[in-house]
Amino acid sequence: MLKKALFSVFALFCMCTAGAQDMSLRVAVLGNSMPMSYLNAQGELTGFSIGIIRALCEEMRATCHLKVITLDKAVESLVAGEFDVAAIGLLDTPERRARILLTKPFFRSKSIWFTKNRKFPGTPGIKIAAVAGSAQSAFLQGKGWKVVPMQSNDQIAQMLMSDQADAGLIPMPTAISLMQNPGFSALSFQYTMMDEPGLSGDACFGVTPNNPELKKKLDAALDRIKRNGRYDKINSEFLPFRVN
Amino acid sequence: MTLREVNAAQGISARRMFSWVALIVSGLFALGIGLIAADQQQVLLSTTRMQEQTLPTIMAKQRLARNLEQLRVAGDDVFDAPSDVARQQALFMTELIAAHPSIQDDPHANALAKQTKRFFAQDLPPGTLTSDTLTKHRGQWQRLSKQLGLLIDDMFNDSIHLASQELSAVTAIQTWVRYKLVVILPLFIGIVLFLLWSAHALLVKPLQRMDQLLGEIDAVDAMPLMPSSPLREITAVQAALRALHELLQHKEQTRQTLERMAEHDDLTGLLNRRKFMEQAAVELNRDHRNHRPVSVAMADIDFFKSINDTFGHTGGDQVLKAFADILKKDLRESDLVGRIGGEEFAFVLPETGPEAAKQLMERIRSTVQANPMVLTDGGRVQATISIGVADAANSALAVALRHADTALYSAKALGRNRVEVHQA
Repeated sequence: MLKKALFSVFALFCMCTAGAQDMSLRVAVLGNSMPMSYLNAQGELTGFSIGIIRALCEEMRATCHLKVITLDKAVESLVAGEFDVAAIGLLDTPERRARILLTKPFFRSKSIWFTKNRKFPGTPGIKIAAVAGSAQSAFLQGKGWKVVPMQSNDQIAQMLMSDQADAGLIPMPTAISLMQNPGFSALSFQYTMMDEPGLSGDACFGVTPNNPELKKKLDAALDRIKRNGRYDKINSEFLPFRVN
Repeated sequence: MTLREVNAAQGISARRMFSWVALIVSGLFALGIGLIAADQQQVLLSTTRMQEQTLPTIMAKQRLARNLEQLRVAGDDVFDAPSDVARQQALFMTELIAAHPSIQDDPHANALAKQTKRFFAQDLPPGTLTSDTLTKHRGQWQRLSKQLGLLIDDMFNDSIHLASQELSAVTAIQTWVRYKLVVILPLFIGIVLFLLWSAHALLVKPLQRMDQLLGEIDAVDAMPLMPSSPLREITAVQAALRALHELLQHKEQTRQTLERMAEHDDLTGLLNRRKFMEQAAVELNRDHRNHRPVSVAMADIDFFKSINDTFGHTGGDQVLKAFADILKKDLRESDLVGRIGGEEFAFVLPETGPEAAKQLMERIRSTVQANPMVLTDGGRVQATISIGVADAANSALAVALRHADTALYSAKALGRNRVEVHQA
């Protein structure tokens, strides 16, 4: 009787610990969004978002399988249940919150309008480059402005530098990265900080709506890495100032 | 003693008393635990608050301080940049950091950040960043940079102050807990010791005393005094012990009465034949062992049948009793006398040779002769006795008594009312 009871307790303990260690997550990431999520010279995924999601996976004792997608597929793939998490900095907008779950913010962002020929927001008839599926693209479409959809922020830079677009609307981390590129900054782009709703505020990871428990675990893990200093280390590694 | 009798005993019920004591002690203990638990709850709340509010606030302040420092560095870079491109990058960074929500959240930081932004946008607009302009405005920037530095210091100091405040609150609670423990623990130990002492004084000690009494109690000695107890149960047991002692005494008295009845003659109160023979043998053995003189004697009331016939058996009995009273009065304490037949009496006279025994018996004989016996109906009886004495120093009891009987027979034969000594 005692042996049976001890065996049951041991089995339960094993199940519990095994359950905690064996959690497997499918994570969607971007592959060309420097400095948040990109491939380094060795072809390995790296960046601020990648560092954070890896830290969260370790905190949750979960095995995370990262797969590169494009931003315009992020929300749809979460809704379809193809991924558990989208480790992409998604601005917290009502449209996104209506479709997917969002973690606690892992950084706070703004959007920056770049133009070379003083084509500031509101200038009629201009073409504005933005990443398809991004909050910036949604904002521009909401305003009824002409959007040139791009697959990555790097492409926006190319469009601006080659005068194929009059302006580009890009998120803060990408703007930092672009401005650190001497070739881009030498062109003396004019820029405007955009504080409008939908363009600035909290940026979160997306979570499949089918797994509210996972959101709680991610939030708790995020709190822990903020408290234990790991978040700040990753921040310092990829960004020049504290973005939280 | 029944439960009803126990309940009827005076004092407080031990069950009730210890129930109350247990209730009070439990209450005090629960109160103490409750007080400490309340403090522990405060500690828990404080640490939770520290974890969930204070630490994030401290970290936010440190991040803000870090960003202000970064703003200052970016500002310095505007002045010290080695190229226009680098200066352009530094200007962008100042504007970006100054506009970041983390800085806008704090009113002081936001005001200073706006001032910085204004300085670079209005005083050093793009396209005017010549060497002269920068030199002209460096002093202004240094003052602004100093203000940023002071604000950074304030942020760090605020962080330390916040942490210190929380730790002080927790320390104050812990100190208070220690004071409570210092009071509660000795109090609790004192209560426990008092209870142990009470249990010992009120229960154990009286029970030990009663256990001792049970070993000592007998029917002869008076009941020893027992200390009074406030507990009803102890009082009841003490009463039971007293009742037991009284019962023992009563039984002893009964035993003694029965023993006396078994060993003494009812009429005269003298030893009966069986007891006399038993004690006489013991006495003779002792005297023989010690080589001490000893004599025996046999006495017989003369013409006792005539007395019986004349005054009836009641009169005869009264004569026997009166004679026994004379013997009791005149014989020495060490002498042994018993009624061994109807009107026959036997004596053992320790430390007495035949001649001294004869004198003693002679005195008795003359006393009887000199004192006519008055009966209850007023009649007077002039009785006499005949006595035979024999030396028993070297004879067994039966032999010595036979010799005395022979001497008695001689006394009767020689006319009665006389004492004769057996001649070997």
